[in-house]
Amino acid sequence: MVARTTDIESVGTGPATSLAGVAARPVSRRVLVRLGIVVAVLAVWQAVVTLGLVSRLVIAAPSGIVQAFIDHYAQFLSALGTTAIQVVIGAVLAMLVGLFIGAAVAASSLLYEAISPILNAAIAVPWIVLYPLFMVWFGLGATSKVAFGFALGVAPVATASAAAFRSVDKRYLTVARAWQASRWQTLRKVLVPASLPGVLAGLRLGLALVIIGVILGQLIGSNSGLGYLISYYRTLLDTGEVYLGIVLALLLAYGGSVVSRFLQRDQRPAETELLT
Amino acid sequence: MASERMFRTKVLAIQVVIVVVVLGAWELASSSSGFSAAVSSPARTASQIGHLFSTGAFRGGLASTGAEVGIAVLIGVPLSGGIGIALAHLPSRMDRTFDSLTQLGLATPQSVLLPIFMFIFGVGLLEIVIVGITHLLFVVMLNTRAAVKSVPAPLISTARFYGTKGLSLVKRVYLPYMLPSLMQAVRFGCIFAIIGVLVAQVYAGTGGGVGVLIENWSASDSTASLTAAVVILTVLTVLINQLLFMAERRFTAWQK
Repeated sequence: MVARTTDIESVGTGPATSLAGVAARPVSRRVLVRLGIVVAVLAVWQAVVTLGLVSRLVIAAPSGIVQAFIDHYAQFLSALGTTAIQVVIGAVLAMLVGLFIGAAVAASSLLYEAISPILNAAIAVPWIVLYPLFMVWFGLGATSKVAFGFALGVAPVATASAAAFRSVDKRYLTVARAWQASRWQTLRKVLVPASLPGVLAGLRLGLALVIIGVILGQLIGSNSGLGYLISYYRTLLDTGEVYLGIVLALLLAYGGSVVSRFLQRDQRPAETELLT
Repeated sequence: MASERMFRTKVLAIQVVIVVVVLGAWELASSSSGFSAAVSSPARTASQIGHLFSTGAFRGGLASTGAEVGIAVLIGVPLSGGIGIALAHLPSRMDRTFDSLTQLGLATPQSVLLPIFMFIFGVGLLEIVIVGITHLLFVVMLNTRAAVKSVPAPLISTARFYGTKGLSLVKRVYLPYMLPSLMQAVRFGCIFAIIGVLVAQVYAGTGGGVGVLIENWSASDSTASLTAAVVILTVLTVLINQLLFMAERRFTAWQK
């Protein structure tokens, strides 16, 4: 535990000293405050478990999670890899198919009016009840997880991109026509850039849902991946291993969220417009 | 007017075609030799839906799931709405910290935390309701916060200029303006509570509720009952979502 705390502190002081400068000072102070909060939370957490205020069978101490990592790091890192691969395949499929459906639906107002209510309803479907059927159809292996992640992610991508394509200002298209832009040019120079913020927002939501789908699938019924390890060690009441699996799964989810936010970085104003 | 009606008819026709194609593909899959064991035909599913509603086990499961969703919504929505309203009034410096915290919460796949809730609360009503509440918490919180912040400042200062204050300001300015977004927050809350409760039930596999029945049918390969229950729950949730959406539309009518 002590080693862990100093570790975090040394990481924290690194960027703070290298960013010496008047403008950077408030930022580094905020970073320090945040790190302080993290360290304090870890310390309290460790103390609560060490002092026996909460049973180790209910909450694993940070040291227990570290111990679990030392004992089983190969197993957990390979499971993380398995989960990440399933997420990437599911996400790429959901994005490609979702974008294709979105573009096809947006192409005519007739199709848009007919299909967008169906897509909107699909988002409200409690997909979890379908997972048992996915297991019957695709088995316990990777296919059922990829398929389930895809099923969760595809409708939001399709809905958001269809809405984004539809909402492109018609005046832009008129201008493009006036300048005799070809179909390809109109698509590349007008439609895609103008609809990008909405499309990216949909992709971001889609990726988050694919991650949820894959991990949930592994939790409920599987033979590999982080979710499987979490459920396996839960039945053994090995809380350290369970919490380690959860921490890794959360890191994967936050990593996905950081990646999609990075892709969205130039689209801030449009994103806020969409959310309000 | 006539062309508008023509357009609506065409839209409806396309939707009917989609439903027919889906049912046809479903029927085809269930009658082909490769899938017949894993796919229950539409006709079989329809009769099984009737049968399920006649059994006490399914009706009881549906009732307890409904009750758990209801409790989660009744506690969770006012609670998270209250937090959202409080967050909207934070000074902007703290606002940024809380913003990143709530974004983190929103990006958290709640289902991963299920084992923790099971360790702490065991399996049963309390755990299921809490999972339902955590599922709706951040969505409702952020929506309510956005709703409060969306009230234009000039509207408030005008009302104040005419002497409106306190409760009357809330009742005459804030609430009417926020109502559509609040209704949307309630709708999201209900949908996320349903998802949370069902996830908790399917994962636990014991205790009461439709989720548990589904898990058990899946373990015993009872595809017909499984498919029928899936259809019932899907239709019910979409119906609830649609009803709340229509209510939302009524409240937004004045905006157009």
